[in-house]
Amino acid sequence: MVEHEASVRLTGIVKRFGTFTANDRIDVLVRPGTVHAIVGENGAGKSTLMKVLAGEERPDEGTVEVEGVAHDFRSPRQAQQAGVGIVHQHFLLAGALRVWENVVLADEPGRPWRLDAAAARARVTELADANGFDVDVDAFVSDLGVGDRQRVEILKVLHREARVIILDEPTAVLVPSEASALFRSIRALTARGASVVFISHKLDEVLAFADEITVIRAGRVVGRTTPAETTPRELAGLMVEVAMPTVEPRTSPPGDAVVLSVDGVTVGSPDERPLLDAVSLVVHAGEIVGVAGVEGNGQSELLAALLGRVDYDGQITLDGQAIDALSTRERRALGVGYIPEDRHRDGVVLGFSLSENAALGYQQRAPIKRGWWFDRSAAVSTAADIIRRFDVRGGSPTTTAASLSGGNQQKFIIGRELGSDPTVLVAAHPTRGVDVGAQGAVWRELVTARDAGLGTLLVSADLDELLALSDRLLVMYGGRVVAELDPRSVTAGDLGEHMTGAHLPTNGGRS
Amino acid sequence: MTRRRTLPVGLPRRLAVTVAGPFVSVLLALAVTALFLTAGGYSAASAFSVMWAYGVQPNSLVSSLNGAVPLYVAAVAGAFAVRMGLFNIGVDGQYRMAALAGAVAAASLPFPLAVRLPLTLLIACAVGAGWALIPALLKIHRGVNEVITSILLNAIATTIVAVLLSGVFRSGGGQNTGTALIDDGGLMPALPGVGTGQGSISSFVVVALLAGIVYYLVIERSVFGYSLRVAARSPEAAESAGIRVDRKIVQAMLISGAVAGLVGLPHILSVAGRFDGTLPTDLMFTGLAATLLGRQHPIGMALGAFVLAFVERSAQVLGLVQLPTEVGQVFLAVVLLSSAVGYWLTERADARIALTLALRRRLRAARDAVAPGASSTPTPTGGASR
Amino acid sequence: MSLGPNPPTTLSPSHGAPARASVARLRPSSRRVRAALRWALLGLGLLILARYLADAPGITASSTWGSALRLTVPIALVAMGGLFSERSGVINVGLEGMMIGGTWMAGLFGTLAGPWAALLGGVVGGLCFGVLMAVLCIEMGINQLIVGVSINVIAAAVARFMADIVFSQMDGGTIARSPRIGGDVPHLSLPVVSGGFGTPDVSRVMESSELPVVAQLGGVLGGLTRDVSVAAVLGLLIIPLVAWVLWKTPFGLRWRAAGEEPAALQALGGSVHRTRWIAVLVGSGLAGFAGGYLTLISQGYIENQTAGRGFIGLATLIFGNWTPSGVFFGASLFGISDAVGIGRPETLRALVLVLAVVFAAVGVRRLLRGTPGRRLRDGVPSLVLGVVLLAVFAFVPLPAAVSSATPYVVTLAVLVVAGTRMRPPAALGRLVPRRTRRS
Repeated sequence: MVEHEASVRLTGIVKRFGTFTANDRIDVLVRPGTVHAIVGENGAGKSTLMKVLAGEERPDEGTVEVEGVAHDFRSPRQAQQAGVGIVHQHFLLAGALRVWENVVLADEPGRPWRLDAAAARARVTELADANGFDVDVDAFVSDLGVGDRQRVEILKVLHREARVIILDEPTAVLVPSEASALFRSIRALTARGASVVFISHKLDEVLAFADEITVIRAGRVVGRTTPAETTPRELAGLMVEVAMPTVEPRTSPPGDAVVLSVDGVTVGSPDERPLLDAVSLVVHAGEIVGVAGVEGNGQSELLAALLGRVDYDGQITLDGQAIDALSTRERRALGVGYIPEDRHRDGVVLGFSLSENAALGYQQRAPIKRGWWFDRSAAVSTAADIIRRFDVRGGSPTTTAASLSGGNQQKFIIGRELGSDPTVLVAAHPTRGVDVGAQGAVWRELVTARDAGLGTLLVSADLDELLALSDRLLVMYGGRVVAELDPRSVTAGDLGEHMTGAHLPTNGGRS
Repeated sequence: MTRRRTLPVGLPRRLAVTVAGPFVSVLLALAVTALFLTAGGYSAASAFSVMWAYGVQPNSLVSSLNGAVPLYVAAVAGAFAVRMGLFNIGVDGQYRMAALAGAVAAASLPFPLAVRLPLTLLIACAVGAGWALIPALLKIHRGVNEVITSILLNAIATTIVAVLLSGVFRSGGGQNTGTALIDDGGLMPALPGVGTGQGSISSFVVVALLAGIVYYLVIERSVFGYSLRVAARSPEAAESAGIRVDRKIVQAMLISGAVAGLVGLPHILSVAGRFDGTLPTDLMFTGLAATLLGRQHPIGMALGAFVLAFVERSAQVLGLVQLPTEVGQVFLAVVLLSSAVGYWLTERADARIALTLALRRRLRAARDAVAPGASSTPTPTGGASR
Repeated sequence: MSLGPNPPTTLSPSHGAPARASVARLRPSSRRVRAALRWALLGLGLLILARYLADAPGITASSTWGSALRLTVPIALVAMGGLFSERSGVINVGLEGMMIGGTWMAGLFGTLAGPWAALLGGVVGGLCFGVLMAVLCIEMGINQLIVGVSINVIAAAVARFMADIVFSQMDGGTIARSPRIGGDVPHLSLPVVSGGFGTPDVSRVMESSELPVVAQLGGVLGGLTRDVSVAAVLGLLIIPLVAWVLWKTPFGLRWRAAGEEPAALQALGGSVHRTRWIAVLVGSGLAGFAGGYLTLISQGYIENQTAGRGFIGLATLIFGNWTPSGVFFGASLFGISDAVGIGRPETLRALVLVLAVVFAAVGVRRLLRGTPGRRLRDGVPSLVLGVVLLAVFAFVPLPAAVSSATPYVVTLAVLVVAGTRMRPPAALGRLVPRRTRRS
């Protein structure tokens, strides 16, 4: 194989969607046998750029060169033929198909009238063995865990003999031990001459594993560097324009009254390991209790149990009153405010106007409910109130929720839940996917409500958020609460150990 | 940065799109029908002109209005389900079961008109709702798609009605194939003051009107309707907000079935005077076309139902001038599809206009800012990427 | 729509345990073939029992089983058509309309050029609506349910309109039927077993012997193998062919992927649109072929001769769990109940008994050995249904008119029992937009 100076050279890539420019004259150069990290905030244009490289989007301007040859990819297939393969952040796997079927899909050995299953299985087994992937090639993908699914995705790329492998936020769904296994295999790939482009916004892993780094902000390249030449602080400064929001240390102590108490709550079918295992916790008035943990360790089930959306054993009391027998509707009416995990799925109805969304969850209460009737003017005034009080930009009561940006949707939801004077607020990932400015605003609202005496249960995957806001920090692992920590004194390493259950070394500290 | 003022620009355009949708749909159906006529060697133009001339005669208009009533009721029944994200294709079986029950009730209840008539309507509603309950329960408890079960239940209803008619409710013997004739104390009176005989307007117009008003109030103005719409749009959000989605499914199907129970009654109580083989069998599909054509809007569906009834009525004249009367059926069938396609076309056009406008605004903004930069040439060929 | 009745499964972010059991059942294996044989023997035993308990010779008569086969073929074919479309992710409620198109075109082709042309005409007639469905559903992304329902209505209206224009003008044709198709495709019998090719007809001898077991075996065997139309044989051969294509070919893999996770196929450079187009077109061709087959049986197009078979095929597809073998099983069940329905009342009673025993047995089995945690949910409806049918068998006289609803009731009953175990293709009804072609 001829050595090229660059395995990938992107020059002047411009990609527009309607009036929005996702990539604005981006140049990237990836050297053979290296790991190249593309870093940037959500929505900076990283994924779009990678889709251009992988042939999934056609650039409006600019050129794509792979191993010295200019390409104009019209389909992912052409990119694959040129040796470029992409592993998406959201896995594209058919659960009802077997591992080997997913891998060879659209590139099957055999004849048109007969797929050579034996050859396909042998090939996939061989690839898996060569890369140290311990995957059962005959398993159905729906039976696999996240780490295995990712390995299947990488096998797909390897099966097509990719020499440039793109990984889109590969560690977002992995626990630290799986992430380090992934990076070991990445090293094995580059050792054999492939180059790896990976997208991330986690600075610690970028600094630990990348050879070169390109920083993108708002569709433009704002910096090129290497781990040796930079610091996390400098990288963070490049990635975001605004400094990370901070929270003033609290001045008044939390109250003594217990507003929410969860006692031995268990969720799960009797013959299997419970998804939520005898969880107990209390939230006092004026206190924010953080729940940390890798996703999928029972947080969703805890939220569902609190809302009464699943059957559970154990007791939940709200302000001293047992609410186990109550429906979701009755719990909400008693003052359980809820900021859902996935705002598009649970929090707003995108096609509805903001006034209709303002009534969501409050439709059975005055002032929205007047006898049988849905009071539209009350909904409008509630929405207007939320928009004004919580600075929701870009919307009026008549515009649809879909026309708001993610951060403003979130502010609207928080406004709706706080505006009803809840007894306790259950907040799940309140700043997920919102920009830094909105994050600061959301944090301020939560702190203000706390100071006004609201008890909050904060479930989040963002450790910065948990450390900044929590008065006490609980860690969940395997459906249990495994630790209660003091957020002011805990170290990232310590927290990481609890979160992974095993006492594994974590990937570098956060600064 | 100035915020885009979407409201003043958006509202008239949205209105235009709303009006253009059904208009394009009907035109499309006319074009396809004309195509069939031409292919069959007939003159589409003369057929349409004959139909129009016949259709606008006062007698025909009255008949169209009466014909639109069951269509509108069927449309409302369908719309209740559609608003819950369901497809009640069981309206067919529901109205036939209910019509039989209504015919028997109207003929046999020993009460004066003022009591008998409401009771008849109530019984028909109850039977329709009961028949609609089956697919709803099967959907939420057994996870079987309501479309499949409804189709099967329609076929089963046909048999049940036939068995009941021949075995239980048939009046007299010999050639008689209907239920007992309903006397004047059970029939729906004509609207007073608007002609007599063939030209009279049935009071069912009032019932249809009430159905439309109830539909509007329930769906748009009640907490129940709000919950229904949330559950249809976003089941997850509904559950989080304390709305039980499976209950809403059952309730929506019950209401839809109850309204569907009224669909056959105009024929029973105003035309035939009993249940027999003359009950039209295509009311559901034509009603469904009205649902789609009117976009589940109470007034839109009324207009849609009238247009469809008008075509149905005016096509009857074609036999007299040696043209196939099936043209009406073809049109009614095609309009079902074209009402979906018509909206698709107008929405796409609207999206493209929106994109072009946005691009133009951006260009103007760039020019105003005197930023020469890259004068990008917009290429609106791809349409809005969604 | 994922309006799951139990929130926990919809909440959990992983696609974990619930799907597992059913996924494994998506593929047949040789073990299943052996199991099928065992079930067939068991079924025969049950039939013999029912024949004597209900005193219904009809349930094992060769005439019943002959018509069962004839009635099974169109259902199986149209359901295979649906399988093609739905496995690729396009809901096909328009099967009935495609079938109507098939009967009409078969009538035209058959009248003009004989029985073989009629079969071809059926395919052409189905394809006309297949193209319409593909354009509207795949290219334009219009609601697939609406398109399907519309196709049914349009097909019926257009068939009548065109029949008025075409068939009414022909000698011997009316608006409701085409002129008679001259001749038929050949009919075959198995040699020795049922007297094909001039050999002695053993099964007929067996059937007329009136010996228990022997006579019944002879009746069923003879009915299934004697005087079978080549069109039926062709239709039955299509089923293993579809199974082969689905499970064993590269196209089959893409086809399944298009219905499970189209984005995966698209990302790997496969064309979801092309796959879906092929699937919808082949499917509509099969549905049309089923129509052509009906036309051959009636020796001409008759209005409404499909009689809702497209819908039955759709239901069959669901309880066949979108697999060719399951669909064949379902279609046979329908064919048998239809054949029984047109027979004598005591034959219907015998069928009720058979079903009662089957449902009760399934119910008991699920209660004792079903998936833990859902034994009651799965077992009780089946058991209750079985007991109710048993009561019907014992106490309720069934009027003859009821029999026309038999296949629908049976299909509904099976759906009720099997409902929660069905696993439709994951991307059924999901629209895949075409990649925006820009610059």
